Amino acid sequence: MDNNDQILDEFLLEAGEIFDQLDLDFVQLEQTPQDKKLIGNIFRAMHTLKGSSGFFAFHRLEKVAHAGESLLSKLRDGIFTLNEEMTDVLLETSDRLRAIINGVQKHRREPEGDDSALIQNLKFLTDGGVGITKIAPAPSSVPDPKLEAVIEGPQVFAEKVLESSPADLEQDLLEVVKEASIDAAVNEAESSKELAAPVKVSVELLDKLMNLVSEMVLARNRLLSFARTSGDLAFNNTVRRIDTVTLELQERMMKTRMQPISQVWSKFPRLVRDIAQDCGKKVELIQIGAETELDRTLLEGIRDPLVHIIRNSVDHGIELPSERLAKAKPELGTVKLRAFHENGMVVIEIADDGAGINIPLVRQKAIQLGLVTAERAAKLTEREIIDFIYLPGFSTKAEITNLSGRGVGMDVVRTNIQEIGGTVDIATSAQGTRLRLSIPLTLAIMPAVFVRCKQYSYAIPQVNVIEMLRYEPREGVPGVEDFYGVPVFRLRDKLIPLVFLNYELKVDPVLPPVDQTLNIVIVQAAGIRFGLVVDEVLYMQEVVVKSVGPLLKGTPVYSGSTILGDGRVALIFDINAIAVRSGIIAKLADNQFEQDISAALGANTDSQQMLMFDLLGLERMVIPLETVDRLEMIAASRIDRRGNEAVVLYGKKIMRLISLAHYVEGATQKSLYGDETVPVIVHYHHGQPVGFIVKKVHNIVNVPTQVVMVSPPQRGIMGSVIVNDSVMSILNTQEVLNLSGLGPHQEAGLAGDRYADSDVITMDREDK
Amino acid sequence: MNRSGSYATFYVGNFFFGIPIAIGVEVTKGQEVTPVPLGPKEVAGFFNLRGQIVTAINMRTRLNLPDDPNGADALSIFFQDQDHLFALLVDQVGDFTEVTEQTFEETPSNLDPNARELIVGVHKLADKLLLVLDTHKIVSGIDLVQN
Repeated sequence: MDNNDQILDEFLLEAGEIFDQLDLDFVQLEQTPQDKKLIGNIFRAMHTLKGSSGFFAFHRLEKVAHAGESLLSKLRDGIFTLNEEMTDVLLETSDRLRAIINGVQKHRREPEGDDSALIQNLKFLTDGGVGITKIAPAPSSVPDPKLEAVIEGPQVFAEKVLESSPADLEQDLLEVVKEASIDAAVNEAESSKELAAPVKVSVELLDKLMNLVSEMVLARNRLLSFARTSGDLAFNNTVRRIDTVTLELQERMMKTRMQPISQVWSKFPRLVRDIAQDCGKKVELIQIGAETELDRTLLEGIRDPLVHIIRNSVDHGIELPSERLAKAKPELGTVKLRAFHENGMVVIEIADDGAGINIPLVRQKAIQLGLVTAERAAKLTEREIIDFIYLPGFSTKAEITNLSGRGVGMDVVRTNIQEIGGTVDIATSAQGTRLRLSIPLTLAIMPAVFVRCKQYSYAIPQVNVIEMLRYEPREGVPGVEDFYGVPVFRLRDKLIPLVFLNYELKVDPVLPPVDQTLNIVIVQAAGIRFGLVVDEVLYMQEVVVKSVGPLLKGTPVYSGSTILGDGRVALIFDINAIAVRSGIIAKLADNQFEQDISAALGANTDSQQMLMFDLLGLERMVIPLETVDRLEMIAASRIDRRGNEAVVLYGKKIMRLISLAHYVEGATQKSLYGDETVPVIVHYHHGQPVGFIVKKVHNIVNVPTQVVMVSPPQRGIMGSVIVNDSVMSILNTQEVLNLSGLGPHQEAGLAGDRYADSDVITMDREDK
Repeated sequence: MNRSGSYATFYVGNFFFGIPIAIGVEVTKGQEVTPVPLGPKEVAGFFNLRGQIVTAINMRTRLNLPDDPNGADALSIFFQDQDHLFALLVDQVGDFTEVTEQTFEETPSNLDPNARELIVGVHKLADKLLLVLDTHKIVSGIDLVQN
């Protein structure tokens, strides 16, 4: 209720001002009845009152103001000229409105009263009638609170009389009288406690003060740098005091620039209603966090983007009622506005529960507009597809409505938001779309990281800075590498593209050698993370952002400038622009493209079918399927020995059996017992069957051909592949064959003796 | 443009220029200019004049003159153009000179075409010619996208 009370107070203050102005205007109007501008002013005043009273459900106020507004609109449009009769009625309207407002101020609710006569007169005049019957002054126009309350009493009572049975009358009468007198007493008490009205200060004055505070911050910075080198304790203490006071002054000053976001949002319920009506949709607007405060200049900046987004949500997003019902969604669509603080930024979310962005349609449109080839488009991720809607002139709407579909929406939104240092993020699904705008609290003063390039200092807005690090080249540790023409740096196993600032700014004509110590500031902009290589990272400081003037309009690398403690000017980087300029974004996009191609080409060859099996103590081994001929279950009792080899009669041939566990590092050997049956993978080697004894055979899996080499190399294992997040080891068939005496040029079953492989088979010995 | 009045005068190369002091002129020297990498070549950089950011324009570059063999562009003539402060870095600052309309003449046609764009006209002083600069054109004529 506090919030409502506050809004009501604001409304009452505003209404008071409106009436003061109305009085002046009416007087003026009597002298210059033709003054269209004046009538316009009065009309607007009435309109404002009507709008606000609708919000508070002050129906009397609304009706009277509405009737007055109708007459005024005809006057404004020049259909009538003001005559004395009209002036009288209008003045009476004004008085009546004021009386109602006075009543609201005292009771916190709308006083009862009958305005039908006045409204009738207004209507009569509006319809072109002449000669109205004078009406008695309305009772509530008497401003004395006591009297008003007393008068109101009988009215309430009279109403109750009509409703009540005679038996209750006496009681009611008593109550009404009691209420009336209590009201009167309360009113008297309250009227003595005047509302401390806020002082209105012009925006120019505030801006000027803000500038002065900015100067003060700069002067403070200079003072601080003196203090650093001074040994005078008294001086340093004074400086510290000035420092804290300046800080507080700055904070308070910032507060004066802060305004609740409701200032912008207040227009939206109407906007949503109108658009919804135009599209034949039912939409409800929910506002959460309207009290969240933002710098006034930023509020201006987000107004248009928000209007665009809400239009999109209602016009494109929310489905027609019939469609919604068919999708089992409630008929009434919702658009939810939410604002909150997060990490020193203001986040504004606009979520609708509509159909979401039609990704296939966007894709199709992008192809149609020649933005992307069909093949390429098929491979783009959802996020990349969504990025198309930011392009100027991009719209999926088949026809242009007066609301949207002109394709000037999202690019403008993003540009505007980026201009004020914010970001836009879209998430979409069939359940709706959510846009997330992150906006800095203020632009005037911000924390920045200072870096040095050659002898000059530059500032990087701290919002862009992720971390700072120093790279020292070391033997054996990969440093700066080349990745599709982009120098990259490995940071915790992620490749971070590097931008060499001196080179990028054309201060240095060539890229510096990379085998040296590098100071890297990891920054994030335009959705990518990259490292800025600078000569030195200096310090962090709050800076007052100043314009760089008109001559750097063509040099978007800088977003502003600031004055350093020593009085020199330092430029502030626009990290987004640097990312764009350095071509990192484009190059990475290209590179992604190449990866896409290789993925597509490799669709058949890139994954390979392998048979998965276990060895004792070593699970998830795989063997390429093409090397597997058959799978057999062989009873240990069938296994014979032939010299050092274990063999089994396999069809008409003798198959040599090899216990894989023996040749693969990490596996445990196990002896077999006579009644046991073992799985055997049959592999043909130079036309002769060779059986690999394993513990268990699983299924066939698809594994990528990209093999992770194991280091140091392990016996019997070719490498590892990653399938569904688990690591599998590929059997090095050739190595196993070699080790078991079946080299490339040897025949199966013949070479064993040469290798004196006494340890090959222990399985059929029942000595354990 | 009012052809008579007071001018702040200065030298760039062999030229003797003047800008009307009505535009709001101030002269300082020895400012430390922060250069702008990637900026237009005419923009020497920025410096701070009592808390305001001033864009310094190198007049030699602006007028297509070779760099001063003696080096330093130490002197700056300030003026304001559309809410922003600019400073012209010049070789040497002259006196404030009062002229009348009688000495005025249109721009001579044999002037360097680049300089002629910026020059409103010329006052024939007793010993030399005073070229009247259009400060707005100095600023607005700079090609913003050069890199």
